[in-house]
Amino acid sequence: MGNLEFLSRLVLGGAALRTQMLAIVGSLVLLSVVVYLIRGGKLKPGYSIVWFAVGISMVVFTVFSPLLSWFAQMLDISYAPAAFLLILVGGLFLLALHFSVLTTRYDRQIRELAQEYGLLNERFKRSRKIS
Amino acid sequence: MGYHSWMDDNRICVFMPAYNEESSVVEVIERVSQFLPGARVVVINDGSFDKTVERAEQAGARVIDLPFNLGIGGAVQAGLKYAWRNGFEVAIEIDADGQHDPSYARKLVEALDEADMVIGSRFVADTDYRSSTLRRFGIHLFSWLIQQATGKRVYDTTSGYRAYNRKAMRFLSYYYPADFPEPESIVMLLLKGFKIKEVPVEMSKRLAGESVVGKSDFSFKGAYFLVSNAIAILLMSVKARVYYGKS
Repeated sequence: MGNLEFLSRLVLGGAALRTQMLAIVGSLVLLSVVVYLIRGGKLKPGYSIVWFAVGISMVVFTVFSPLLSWFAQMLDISYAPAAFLLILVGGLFLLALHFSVLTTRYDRQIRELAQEYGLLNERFKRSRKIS
Repeated sequence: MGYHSWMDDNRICVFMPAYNEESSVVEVIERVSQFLPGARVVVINDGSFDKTVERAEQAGARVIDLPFNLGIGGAVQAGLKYAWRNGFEVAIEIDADGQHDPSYARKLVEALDEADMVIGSRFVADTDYRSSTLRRFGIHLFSWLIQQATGKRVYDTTSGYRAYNRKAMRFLSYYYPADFPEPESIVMLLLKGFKIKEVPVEMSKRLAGESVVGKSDFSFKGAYFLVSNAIAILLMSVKARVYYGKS
């Protein structure tokens, strides 16, 4: 496929190819943003694993489109891009669950920290009054 | 005569979670001191922005001043931790809004002879307590759900007038449900083999504030409280069998 033919298919026709390119670009942008946030110290690497997993699987499925077709066929999905959406929704669901688990942990830790602060502060004030 | 009936009051810690209770906290502290003269009275200030702390200190109570509002579960757990760590034999939880009559406190303590946690209950005997239709339905529903989950009947599942022995204090210092603590803690304790007893008490109207369920027969807030508590009971009955078994 020549450059001109490729571009014309991308711009004028070949909707599937255009969708594929868009998905590849989208996936790469997502991965780049994750890396950028980690480098800037705004995203802890430990919490970005799920984001990476989602981004990489998006890239793999969009670059190797036969893989997506195979996956769609396995699930009896006649329109392959719908399978891509399913993967995307699954990934987002996983992310939401991951963050709910993290929030639960932080909720408990913050509560315990606030209780310890209150209890220690009471002891501190009392010892100051005594001395 | 049981062990707890002759117990010195100085081995009892009465704690009251308080959120903006400046208008009632002094009277509650005074009434507690009247009926349990030697007991340690502790106010758990749950992020109040009124004069709760100053009033409580002036009335002679000790104050645990939480840095921000944790909700009833977090405040009660702070009180239990305080009582446990300071070596008290009995901890009594009482509302700072004046709803619970401290004259029943000694009855609660005495009932600890036969239980790890005692609940001051409005429904085990005929009392003058009257409430909205939604609240009555909710309380019956929670009681029924708890019976299905644990096999044991508890009538007043939302009462926050409770007494704990050291065994219950220790366990709840580590694990105390944060969101819907009253019914959840009953399920948790029963499934972990703790004994719970109910003692009839009279509850008066609050000196201040208003209940979550409200005074009217129906409110959306009340309906939400009912549904979320029912779900929390069911989830706790699954969680308590596995999660707390590891401790």
